[in-house]
Amino acid sequence: MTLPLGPKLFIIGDSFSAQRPGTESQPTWQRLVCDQLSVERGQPVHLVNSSLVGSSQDWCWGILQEWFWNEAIGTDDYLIVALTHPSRFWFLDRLPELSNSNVIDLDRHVSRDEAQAIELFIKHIQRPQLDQLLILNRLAYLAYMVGHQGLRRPLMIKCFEQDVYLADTFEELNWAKGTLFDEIQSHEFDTSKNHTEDVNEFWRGLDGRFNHMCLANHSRLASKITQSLLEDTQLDLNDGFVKNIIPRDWAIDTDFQRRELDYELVQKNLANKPSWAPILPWKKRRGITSSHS
Amino acid sequence: MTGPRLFVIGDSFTVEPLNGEDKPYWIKQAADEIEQLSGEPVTISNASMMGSSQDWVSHHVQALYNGQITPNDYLVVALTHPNRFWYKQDRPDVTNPHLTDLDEFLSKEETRAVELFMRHIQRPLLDTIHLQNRLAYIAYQTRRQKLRRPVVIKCFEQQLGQCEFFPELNWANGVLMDNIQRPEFWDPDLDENAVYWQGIDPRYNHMCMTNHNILGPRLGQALHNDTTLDLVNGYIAGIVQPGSLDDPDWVKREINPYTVQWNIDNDRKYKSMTSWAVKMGIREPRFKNEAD
Repeated sequence: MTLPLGPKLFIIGDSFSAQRPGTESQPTWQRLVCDQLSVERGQPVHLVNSSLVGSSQDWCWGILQEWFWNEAIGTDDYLIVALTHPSRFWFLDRLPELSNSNVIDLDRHVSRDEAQAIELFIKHIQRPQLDQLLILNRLAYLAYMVGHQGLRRPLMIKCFEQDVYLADTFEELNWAKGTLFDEIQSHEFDTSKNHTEDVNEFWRGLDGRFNHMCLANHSRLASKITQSLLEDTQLDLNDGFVKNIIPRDWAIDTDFQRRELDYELVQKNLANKPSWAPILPWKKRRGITSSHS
Repeated sequence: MTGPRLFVIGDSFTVEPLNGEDKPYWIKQAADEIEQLSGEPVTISNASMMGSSQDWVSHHVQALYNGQITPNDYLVVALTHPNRFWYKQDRPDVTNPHLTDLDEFLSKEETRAVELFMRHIQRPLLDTIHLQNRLAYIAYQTRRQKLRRPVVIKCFEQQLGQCEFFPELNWANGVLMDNIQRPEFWDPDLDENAVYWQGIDPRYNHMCMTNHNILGPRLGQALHNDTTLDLVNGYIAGIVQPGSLDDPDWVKREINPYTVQWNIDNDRKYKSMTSWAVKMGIREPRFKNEAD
């Protein structure tokens, strides 16, 4: 593992923190935080973002374990963990991005037997009690290593609402208040719009925003994160974000697209518009329900 | 006066003698040793379960650190094989792919779920990620609550990764399976169930009492003095011969006579002891003649 010299900002997480290849210079929150930290510290802070769209907590912890094992994170560095949903599972070694059973075309990427293995795992093996056990152990690992290696407190941002049980008392972890999904991303839609509408249908494909948030909120989020990292204070996701920002006519509002969205991705979505046909996620199509729910 | 407690969590290597039998098994001997060294009575709280997984151990450990264990207490964690998986909430004892009758405890579809999980999802990397998280939980709480270092014993060989170096854990040197239980056989490569026992293993915790008598006091010293428990040197090898069961004195002295009788009563001699995973072609045979 070769890392740049000097202070670094490490980020691990899912689509709320991943950067689409080719968009690294866009003013997304990860880039902005790094720039702001560099200004505040008077020296460049390098971004090491290993986040992966669709990944699970186990995959993220595999990366974290590698970082800690190699002592990659120094006492002068920063760490942000964007905590994805605990029910995601790293099913197949070769497909860490395929951990969410709500992925629309999961069955297109795996063999029939593998799809059945995933289906039966969700139905019969996975359960909240096991998820709880695993999440507490994961967070204890992180808290332990932070203390063990004498690092700054990592900023823990929940992407989705989840119970972290006693881990919210682990003093080595700096928990943000609120979640990215509930406090920022879902409030961006025009309230007059039907919120139950499928997100892929709404965007005619993949979510057209960077990290499921408009750039106006990236900017606000970045400032708050920078402050939290520099002062080791709690990040509050409940206040200060723009709501109802996405107009109903976003698809024809080019200015909005250029200002707030991943413009290139949006254009791809719109180019596919004639052939876009919303389909149900794999899990729903298969009628998969857990025997534990 | 209430003295310290000795908490023990693990699998069949640490489980209490069945049916409430008052046997001086190694955990009891460890408690006795601590009593001698400290002059205080020690109460054993053993939550081990036959056939359990590391997640089961973790489940108990999490409860233990939530206000049960104190700095005055001792803890032994016996680490079973990391590839055991707690498939079904109400059957924490059905986790081992090498159970002979795993499919009898689960529905047809659940058995298929387990089979496909083993074939396509479970892998050493995932097992090790989980293992390191589990051990970190113990190390973290030990440090946080300023507890005595727990003695952590590997029942089976396994990749520990970085948790091997967590200073809050007192790792035993060696492995119960490889350094004590297998060498007890005259020929460790033979299928023990078929050749020596004619049924299930009748030893207490898979070890003859001669070795309990060595291991127990050593464990007590390691716990009390916070020193390394040695599982490698000084244990007796080759105690179990193909004809050992024919010697009633030996049976009474070294193993559990009730299990020997149970094997006879249930005709275990004539029943297949081939593991479910081997039968299903998911795992390789463990012994020369297992798949026969």
